[in-house]
Amino acid sequence: MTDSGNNSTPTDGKAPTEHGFAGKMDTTDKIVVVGAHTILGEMLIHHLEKNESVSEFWVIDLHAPTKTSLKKMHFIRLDLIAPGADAKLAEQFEKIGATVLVHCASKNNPSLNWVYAHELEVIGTLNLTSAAKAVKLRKFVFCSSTVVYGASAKNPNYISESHPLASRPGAHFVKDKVDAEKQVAKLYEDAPQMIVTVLRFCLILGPRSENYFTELFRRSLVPTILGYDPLMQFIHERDALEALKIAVFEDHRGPFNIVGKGIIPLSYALRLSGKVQLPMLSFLAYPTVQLLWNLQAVAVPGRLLDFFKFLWVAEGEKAKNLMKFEARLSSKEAFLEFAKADRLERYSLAS
Amino acid sequence: MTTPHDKSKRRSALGSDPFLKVVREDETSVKPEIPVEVQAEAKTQAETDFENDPEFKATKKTLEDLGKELDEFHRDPKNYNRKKLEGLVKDFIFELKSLLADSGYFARIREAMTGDHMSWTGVIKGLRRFIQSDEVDDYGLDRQFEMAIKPFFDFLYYKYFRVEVSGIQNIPYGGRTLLVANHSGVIPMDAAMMKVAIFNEHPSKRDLRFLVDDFVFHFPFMGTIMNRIGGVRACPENAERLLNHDEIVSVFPEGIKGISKLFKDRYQLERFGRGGVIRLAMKTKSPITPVAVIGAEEIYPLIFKSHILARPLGLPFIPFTPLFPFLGPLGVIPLPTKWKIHFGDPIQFNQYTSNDLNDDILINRETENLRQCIQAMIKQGIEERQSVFGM
Repeated sequence: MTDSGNNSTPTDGKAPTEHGFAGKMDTTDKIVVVGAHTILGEMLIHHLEKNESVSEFWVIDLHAPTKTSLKKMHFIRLDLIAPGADAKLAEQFEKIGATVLVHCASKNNPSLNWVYAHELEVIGTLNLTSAAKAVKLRKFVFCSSTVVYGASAKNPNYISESHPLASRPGAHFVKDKVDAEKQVAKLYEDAPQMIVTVLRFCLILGPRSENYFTELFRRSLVPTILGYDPLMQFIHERDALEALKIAVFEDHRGPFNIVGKGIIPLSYALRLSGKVQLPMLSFLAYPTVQLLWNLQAVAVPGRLLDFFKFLWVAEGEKAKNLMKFEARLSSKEAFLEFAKADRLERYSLAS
Repeated sequence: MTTPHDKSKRRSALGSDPFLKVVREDETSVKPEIPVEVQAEAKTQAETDFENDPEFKATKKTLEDLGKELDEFHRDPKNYNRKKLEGLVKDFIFELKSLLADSGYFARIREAMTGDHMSWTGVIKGLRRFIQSDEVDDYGLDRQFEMAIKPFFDFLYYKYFRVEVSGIQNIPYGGRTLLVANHSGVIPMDAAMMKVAIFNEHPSKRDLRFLVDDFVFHFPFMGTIMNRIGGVRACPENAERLLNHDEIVSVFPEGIKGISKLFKDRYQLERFGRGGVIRLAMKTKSPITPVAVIGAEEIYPLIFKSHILARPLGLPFIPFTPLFPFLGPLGVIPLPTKWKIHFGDPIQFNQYTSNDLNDDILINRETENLRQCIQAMIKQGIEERQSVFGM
């Protein structure tokens, strides 16, 4: 689980010590974080506030972060999807003299208002990339997700970064993420001097994480699909932050899968956390869930059920070799941590 | 589940104790004569011991009867009275049940259900604890589940198909190996039997990883069960990763065409894909061990297959055998043929470099050589056997 290495030499700064990656950065770098209300953005902002080598940083969002004790932060209110947003963004970047852009403003959840979701994901990313291109930023870090590979019976057991992205995803949620990735991938050609890092996180679990998966797992009766028990992969939110820190403070080009150690079948995870499963017949589940989704009774549209049925496990070897990132918690431990926090929350609410 | 003592007795009685063979081959270089004699004596001793075993006698008698009936059925299928065959098959099911009861299988389940026996949740939790552990390995293999269903496959292996294994010493104790075998039987039991063979007969008890065709993962339960006993989807990425992690991987390059062979075409190898096997071996620098499985072609004598009926079900084909679908669910029971699995000498691919991967002609030639090699092994095996049912 954790490395026993307090005795490891202090010289190897890259090895994850007990406090994780120290995050010493070039002081001339000016970091701009886009998206203050996603789990990754929120955690990164808190880290930057604590990090002593960062003197100030900028945050772009529609609403200011809820925490008011952020001394080093400068908040810029900007709508990513307003007309002419790219020009405004470029102007702001010019004024700040920004060098590093961290793009976390992507949806955690599928949304019934898919037009707005599409605008935010794809057009928002497009505006950001074109602004980044215009002012010639040094680095562009994009937080994506492993859902871009799509879930299918034809996936290999471990999907590597070179695997093609889902070609015809059914769900808008996945389609938007794939489109956004394609926008960012254009930067490799259009701005070859820019360091473009794409982090594809698997499902982020933890006490604070809120996504379509945790919404389901917080229930005591969890619907599953009868006869299908896919292998699942989770990463704890602290491990996810660790990977994001490495990407922000060090230079790594290209896409990276950021995943937890090991795998666990969905049913095993549910059993270990004491949840009761409600198996549904596959052919009935899709239309039923779609109907419930349209009534906003569940957090998942019918087409996204593929992710509860087929394999979509990603390979973390590249991040381990190049970024020296290795998750400290395994998928099973991450899930149990989440379940523990969930249970505590429930008891505290009851009392 | 049989006790270890019992198992060793049974193994040598079937004349296929690979461990003894391995030891013998190692020792031949030092003292060629004495160990052979000693072992021969030990073997006859064990054999006589074993043949006096009433359980064995009963099984043998049932099998002999069944063999005779099947022979009769083959001679004159039209005027055959099916009632008798059905009765014998029912006897077999009873035998399987009694075997499980004798081996303490049910006792183990009861043991696992410690604690609350009375409530339903207690019983369900206990059963789950018996068939599932808390963790799976990197590819989804669950040892607890594997062990829970192993007695059934052991029954098939030792009693039903009476598998005889030769050349097990060609499988290394460690390191990667690619097993390439002929594919047969409508329900591909050859993969399962190879897995059991390596687990039971090889001293290192290595796990065989087998690659499963895509369509299985579209079906409920099938894909999950296959995954929990160590099967992964058949694709180059998976095979490469497994071999790079020094596993034994079995490949059936004939694919679906292999298992859908008609009875008249039995043991005629189909085309070996598009050379993916050789490419895989070259890329990962792993030796190929050719495997011939004899006897698996006759378990379901396929007289007709329908692709049109299968399409709406998402299956590759629907088989018609003399027993299926006319006998209903009883038709799913395979015929008790006697099996022989021969592991051939490994073929090395170290001499090739990565440039040769693009040489299609070379790869095609190597693929054809491999096919010929396995075909020759099969031919030899068929010539050696006296009868299909081994009576």
